[in-house]
Amino acid sequence: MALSTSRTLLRSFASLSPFARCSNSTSYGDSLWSSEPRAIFKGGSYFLAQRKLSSTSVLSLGSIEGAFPCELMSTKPLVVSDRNIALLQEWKLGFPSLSRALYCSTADFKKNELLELQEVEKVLSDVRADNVKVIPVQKHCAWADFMVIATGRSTWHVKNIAQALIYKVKQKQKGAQRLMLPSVEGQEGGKWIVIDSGKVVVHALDEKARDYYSLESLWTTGTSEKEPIQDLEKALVKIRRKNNSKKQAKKSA
Amino acid sequence: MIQPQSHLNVADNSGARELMCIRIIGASNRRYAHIGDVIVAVIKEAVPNTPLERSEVIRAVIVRTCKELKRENGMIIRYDDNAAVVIDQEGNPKGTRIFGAIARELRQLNFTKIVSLAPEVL
Repeated sequence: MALSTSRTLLRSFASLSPFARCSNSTSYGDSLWSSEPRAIFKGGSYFLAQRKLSSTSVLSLGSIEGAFPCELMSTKPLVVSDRNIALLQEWKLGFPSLSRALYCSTADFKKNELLELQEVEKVLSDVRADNVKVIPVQKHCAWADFMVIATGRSTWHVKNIAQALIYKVKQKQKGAQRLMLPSVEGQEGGKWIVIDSGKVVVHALDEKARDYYSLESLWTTGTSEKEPIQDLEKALVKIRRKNNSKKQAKKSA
Repeated sequence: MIQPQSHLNVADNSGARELMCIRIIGASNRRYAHIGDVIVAVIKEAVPNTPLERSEVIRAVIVRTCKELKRENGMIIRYDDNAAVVIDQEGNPKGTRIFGAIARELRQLNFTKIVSLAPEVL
């Protein structure tokens, strides 16, 4: 948590500081984009305050020593950068609530995907789920990208697989104000549990259920089903105007 | 709008062919069931030599209705038939495959299993 806040802060400060503006402003990812303005705003006011302080201190130094205006000009950005680092530490130590709010604003973007595929695979290997299969299903259906199918040895094991995945999600969002949990289905029975975390859908089944439903065959051989789906989409798009358009097409042809 | 005594088609390969709604699960005196609601139904017609038989009482999820389903974006979905999928007490479908198109709302209503078996999701 502290790392992520420090990163966002660093970026916001880097964007404000004059010498790093051109180098860093281009490197923002899209995911961070809408969280940035807040951070810039909050950090900005602090930064400005600190800058005033630093400039006054430098000026007083200058008034005392009086002879090195060009050196002072050159050291000024250095002073500011040191201040930045000190400020960062202050932020880390002194404003936990603020940093948490910042964290949440960035967290919302990353946690659109509650679980990523690599994490799912790692958790499944950790709980020793058998016969894990990852099937990309973007072609077949619009509502998910990946189906992950795993077998548990018993109902307890299947339940534990689901629990491990939920625990992983909770760990990932530790410290966030609002926990987003995936929808879990069938946890009482333990024969077939579906953890639906948006684009990655994990199916944990016991051996009998896996044989019975044979989800792999459904999702891997579904390539031939693509054409009728397209036909149906066309039919649905032109519900009533279909006939009219056809007549016009015939007339024109 | 499914109410007791409504007949429904079966949209899976569980072996039942026609159901009759006898009770809607939810509130105590609920009148109508819509897509995604669970009903108690009796099998009026079944395929021979299958585990499910005629006059058996089962639970089912409604997946298609003739009554329009409205979405927030203004889309209205209306099917040609009333259809349901047979489930057991835990919510697992009795059949292994589902036929026909299914509305996306079932996923929000925690019927992801049915949605993942369906050939297409509208």
